[in-house]
Amino acid sequence: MLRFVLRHLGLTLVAVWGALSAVFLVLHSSGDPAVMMAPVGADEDQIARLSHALGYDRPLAEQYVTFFGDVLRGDFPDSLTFQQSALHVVLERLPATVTLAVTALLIACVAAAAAGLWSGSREGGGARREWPMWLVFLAQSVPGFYIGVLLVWIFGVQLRWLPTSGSEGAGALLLPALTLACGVTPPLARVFRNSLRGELARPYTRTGIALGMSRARVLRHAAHGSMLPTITILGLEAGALLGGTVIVESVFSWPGVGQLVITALQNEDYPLVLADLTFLITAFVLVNLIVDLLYGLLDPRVRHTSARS
Amino acid sequence: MSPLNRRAPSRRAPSRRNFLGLGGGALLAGALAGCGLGTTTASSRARDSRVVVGLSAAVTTLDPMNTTSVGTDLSVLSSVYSSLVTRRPDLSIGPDAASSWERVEPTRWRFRLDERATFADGTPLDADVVVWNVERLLNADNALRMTSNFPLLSGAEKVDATTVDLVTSAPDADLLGALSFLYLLSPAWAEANNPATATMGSGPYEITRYSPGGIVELRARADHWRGAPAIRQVTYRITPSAAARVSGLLSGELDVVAGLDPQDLDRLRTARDLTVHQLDTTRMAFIKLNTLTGPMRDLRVRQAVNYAVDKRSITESLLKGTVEPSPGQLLTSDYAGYPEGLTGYPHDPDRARELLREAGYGDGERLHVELTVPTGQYVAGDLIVQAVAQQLSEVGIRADINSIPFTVYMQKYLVDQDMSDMQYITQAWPTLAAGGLYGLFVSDSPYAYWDDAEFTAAVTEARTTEDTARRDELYATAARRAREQAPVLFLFPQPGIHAAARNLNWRARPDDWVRPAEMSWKEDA
Repeated sequence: MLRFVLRHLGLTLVAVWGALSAVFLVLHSSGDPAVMMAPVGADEDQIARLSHALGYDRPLAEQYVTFFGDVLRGDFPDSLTFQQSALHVVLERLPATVTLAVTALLIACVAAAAAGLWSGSREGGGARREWPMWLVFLAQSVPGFYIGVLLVWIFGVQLRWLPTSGSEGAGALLLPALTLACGVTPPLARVFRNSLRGELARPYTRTGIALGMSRARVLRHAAHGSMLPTITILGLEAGALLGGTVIVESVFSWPGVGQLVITALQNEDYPLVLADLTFLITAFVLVNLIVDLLYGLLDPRVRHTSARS
Repeated sequence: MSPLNRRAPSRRAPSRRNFLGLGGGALLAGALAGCGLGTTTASSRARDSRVVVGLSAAVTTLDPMNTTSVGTDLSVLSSVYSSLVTRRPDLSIGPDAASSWERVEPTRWRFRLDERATFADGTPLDADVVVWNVERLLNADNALRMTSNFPLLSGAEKVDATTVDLVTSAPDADLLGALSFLYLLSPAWAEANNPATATMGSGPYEITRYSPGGIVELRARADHWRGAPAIRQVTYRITPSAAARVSGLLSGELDVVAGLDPQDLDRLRTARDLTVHQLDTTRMAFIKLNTLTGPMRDLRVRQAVNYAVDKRSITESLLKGTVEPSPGQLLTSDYAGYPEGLTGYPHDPDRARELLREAGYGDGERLHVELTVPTGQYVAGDLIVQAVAQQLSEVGIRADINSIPFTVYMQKYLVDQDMSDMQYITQAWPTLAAGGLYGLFVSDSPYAYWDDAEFTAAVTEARTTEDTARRDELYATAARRAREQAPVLFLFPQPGIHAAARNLNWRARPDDWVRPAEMSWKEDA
């Protein structure tokens, strides 16, 4: 088990480093941020001095080595716009994004479980069995930002029940979390429903019923069997959810790292973009690591195979 | 075939009920939380003398000398700090920390400080404070972004405790306008604290909450030396998306929003509890022509593109009639030194075709130019450029639109000195000095792409001319020369569209400042 974890942690580091390098190279080949920072009317000398002070006039390779040296020491360069440690700015925004993502994931899990159980365990009539899946299908076909705008229009502008933006209080959390959950629920619900139906059709279910097991117990066993594919999808979707926060946070003015990365990109604030993405990438890779570990826990076959390899 | 369906379908599976119960419970909890923590209304805020302002971009720094963003950073900081003089809503210059001032020599201004002026910690705002701040501003090692607004300022000298002289290297007609941007820090405090992340000023408000790029909250100083302002509490909400600003206004969560899109005008105008303000900003939009190289070297071609474009059809359709086409000027009428009496190029496609024929672009050879626009940077920029290209094609000019990110655009424009034949741009000079904005067109400026001796001579002389009549005459000469030589395709001022709660007294300003001290709730609110 330890080797399994260590190997995956190693791969995680490689993945983070690779992704960050790609972002670094793309950013630094797109222009010199000193041009954006200089006030209107600044001449070439002023821009050149600013560029030199920030170190953007040095060879790319040198900047790359310096940057990763700093990051390894845990010392991110200062944000150009906020004039303070980029790491500090990101850390300050992190709780907002984590709250939003976890709430959205909880909503998605509950909704997917409910829809999957309803449709997966029921036999017979089309509409009666499948209506939750139709709802889910609808949620998937509408783009997330549109759902967001629609929710704002109904609950914020027309009914005035919930705030349209900001992060004050639990009320402000509900709309962005719902919007974000709309993107994650459908694949989860469908995979869970399909594998549940698969499990219920397997011989062990029949045996259980023949032995007089209660319906609830049979369902519990079947649901447990359906967890493996569902967890896999959950891991993938949790990654997509992180990407989704960038859009949802912008629509709802939610002050998290997703909105921050947009601001940073607009301001050509390279250190901040890199610090921000370090978190998003690490979170993405960590979620996948957790899924791999869960896989190992839920399915002994995986654990044993990788331990031998 | 699931074996489960052999049971009576009406009987609910307990585990499903658990799941549904859990889901319902979560929704109920959310709904309850929502009702309990819903929105406050404008009328309840009026009772508390509180306003919520929607900002289109985050406040990035609290150091007033290290930012030039008027609509966000400086608007917030102008509530916390005071400057020697301030620009009033009618754009005239009025007193702030200085109660009076005079020019004692052509290059020496004397300021008498208001004796009541004190910082929040009780230390007086005296001559030493001003001297220290000017030294901080001018010290090149500090690399402060505000410094470039003071090209002629050379130092400050204390006369007595409440009198201070500012000295310039040449007569500076624009000094007062620039000084309205110089917010004064307390020297002792600034040496012990980081002014980028904390504040302690002599203005009417103090910051009670600040997270970088996030929320900012102000509270009025009841003991302020000028008396407490009417609005007691201010919350700034960062709403970068235009849709979020509009829905925030419509739902009554935001009381004031500056910088809205013309496309949202119709929706805002129908809202009962909102007042919509629309005015010309001090930012001029035009299409810059590269007169140094390529087809735009030819004056006839530059004039032809000016005749070819129907500016009014663009302001009427794309900008919903919020602004008027410019009368062939680089300045808007709010600039000191704006000359009256010019007229713009009329829409005359026949004249444009004639000029193009004279320049050698007849039936055989078609003029082919590149028109660059930065994506998403300017109000309706992409749409305006498409309309211009369409109208140019009607007189036989093929304009290829090149949409590029703003950073790449600025890199080409300023650093590489490789501007395309035409580029859409909007320019303003925050201190509203004609010499400042015209300075972007003089021969040796990297912004100019225009080498005109007559224009450059007039502007250079005007900038250091004390006699206002003579100065205005020089600026009028420069304006006529620019109109005739057409270094740009003249368009229109960028529209400023602002909205506020109907029962809030507030006058939107053309120069982008949004100051809570200039607001109050109406009595019957």
